[in-house]
Amino acid sequence: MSLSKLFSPSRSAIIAINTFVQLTRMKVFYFLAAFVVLLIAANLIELPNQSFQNPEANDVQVLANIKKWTLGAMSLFSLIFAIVGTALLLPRDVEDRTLYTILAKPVPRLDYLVGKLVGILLLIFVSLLIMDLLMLGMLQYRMNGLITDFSARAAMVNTPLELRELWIEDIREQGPSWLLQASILTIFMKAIVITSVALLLSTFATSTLFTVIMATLIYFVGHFQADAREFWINTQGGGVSQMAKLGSLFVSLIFPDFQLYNVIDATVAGVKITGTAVLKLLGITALYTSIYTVVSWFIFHDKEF
Amino acid sequence: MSRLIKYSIALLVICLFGVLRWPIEENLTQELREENLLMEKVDSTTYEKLGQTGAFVAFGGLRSFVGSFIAMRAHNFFENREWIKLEEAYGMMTVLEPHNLYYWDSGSWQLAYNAYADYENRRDIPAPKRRIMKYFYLEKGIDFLKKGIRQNPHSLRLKKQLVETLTNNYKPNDYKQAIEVLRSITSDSDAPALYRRKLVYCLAHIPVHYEEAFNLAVTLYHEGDYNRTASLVVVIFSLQEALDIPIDQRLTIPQLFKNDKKALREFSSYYNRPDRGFPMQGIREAIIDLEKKLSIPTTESFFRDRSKFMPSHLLEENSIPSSLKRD
Repeated sequence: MSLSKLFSPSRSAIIAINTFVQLTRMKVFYFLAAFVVLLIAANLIELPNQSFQNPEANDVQVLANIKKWTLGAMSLFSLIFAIVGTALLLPRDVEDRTLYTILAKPVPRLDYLVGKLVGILLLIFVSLLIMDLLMLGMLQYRMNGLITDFSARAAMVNTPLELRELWIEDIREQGPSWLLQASILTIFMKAIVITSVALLLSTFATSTLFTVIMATLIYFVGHFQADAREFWINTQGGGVSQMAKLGSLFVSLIFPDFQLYNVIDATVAGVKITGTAVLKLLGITALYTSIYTVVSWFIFHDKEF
Repeated sequence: MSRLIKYSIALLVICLFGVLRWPIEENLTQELREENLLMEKVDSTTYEKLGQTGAFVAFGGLRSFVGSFIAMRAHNFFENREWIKLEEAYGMMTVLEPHNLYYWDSGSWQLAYNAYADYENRRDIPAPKRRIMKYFYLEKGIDFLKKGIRQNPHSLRLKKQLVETLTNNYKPNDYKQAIEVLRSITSDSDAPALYRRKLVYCLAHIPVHYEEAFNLAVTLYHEGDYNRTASLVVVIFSLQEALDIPIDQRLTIPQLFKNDKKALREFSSYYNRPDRGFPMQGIREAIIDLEKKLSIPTTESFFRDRSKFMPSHLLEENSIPSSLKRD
């Protein structure tokens, strides 16, 4: 069997674009209205400054709140798209009989699965890009305003220039930065993994609801995977029941480790993420996606409809 | 191939993948924890306090999101003067976001300043209990900051806040602790000069450290104009007197100040604030000498009306200690 019969990037690309268009037709981008409302709300919430030693603290917190809320919304929306969007794909194609037409072409099943996966990831990517641009615009606008106001206040009370510059630097650190883009990239990586999990589930699931529930459960249990792994390692000397050990082993082997992607919280606080860490996370994401896609294909390749 | 066999093989592949990725994930988790990119686990007590919804969201990787809502709740506790609940709220916020400096900063401020001031002014409580409670919250604020510094050892902001709290004029001071904190800041050569100046001021509060204060102050003086603040130059002058530095090795008034009028003004303002705890040796004599030099009549002498050089917030009659009133 030649390679092109097994897998063709161009065929997958066509399926991906069609999937993206199909999902867009479901008017999914209307969620951006909710995102904009959230962005405005984040902008308006400003608690009175409780630290007179650090007068810039309130301004820093305004920008931090905008980032927290919008990154939280991005995480939530990308999770919903990843799980619900993917869960709908195969059942919809079966319902519309599109699947039979495609597979009868013949389009190899691997092409079909990869195309579907890339299509939903394209939707998530475009959504995150739009939300990112909106957030950056708001952050830049707000940061400029805060720095202008702060400089005027500091000049009025004759704050030493040295202190003024330090405080303005604190405000700038919370503004748009490459660090912020790295955290959005980790949100996308997390979405990639959960999408491939949802796709795997949908290859054998009997209903969309089952896929959605199971994928959501896997998402949350995945945040405990690291704890289960540590538990299993730490209890090798004994002291716990065999059932508990087997349970922790099962969780640590089966479920993906979503805790790795929780670097978002630290980056909001201003902790720098290195390029090496980002590359390692990309590597592990690629590993997850590849394995889950191959297993999906294995289950799907001789499934009868 | 039957479905059972197919699903069993799929599960086996996933398990084998799990075994393969185990060391990779373990190492990556350790690396990210060392770089402070992954927070420590939220303890069970905090989860219980978060409630089901909060735990659900925090558990799903949105700790900072939950933290910002608890911050709003903390503000309500501040408005209602519920200091115990406020302390609990800040405890949760800092567990969820240990690297958010704002929470450590404002939390310590709430305890060491706001709660302190609240108990100081509460006439419904007997005076001994007021005293105990205000110092109790001052200690809590300081401990809270120290905990924040342990979690964020490179944070200049929290260290500065700790120094300000330890050296606040309206609270019991601890210059020894403040000096330790400032030494840890200034050990880094990139630390801004204002921290080294602050170290001089703290050292100048303790006679046994006068020599160190003087040497550092002179070093800062020679580094440039930006360091020659009014407080620094007057402290140098006074320390020269206190340490009995030989006349030919001293920095003179023309060297320290632009002109005699400025010198008189700075000495007078400095002399008016003995509450700041700075050394006072030689200051009174310098004022007398400068007034003679500038031919200021006795009727207009600084010692006849010191209020001219008093900071405006101290001009209220009841805020001027009797020692600062007219000689």
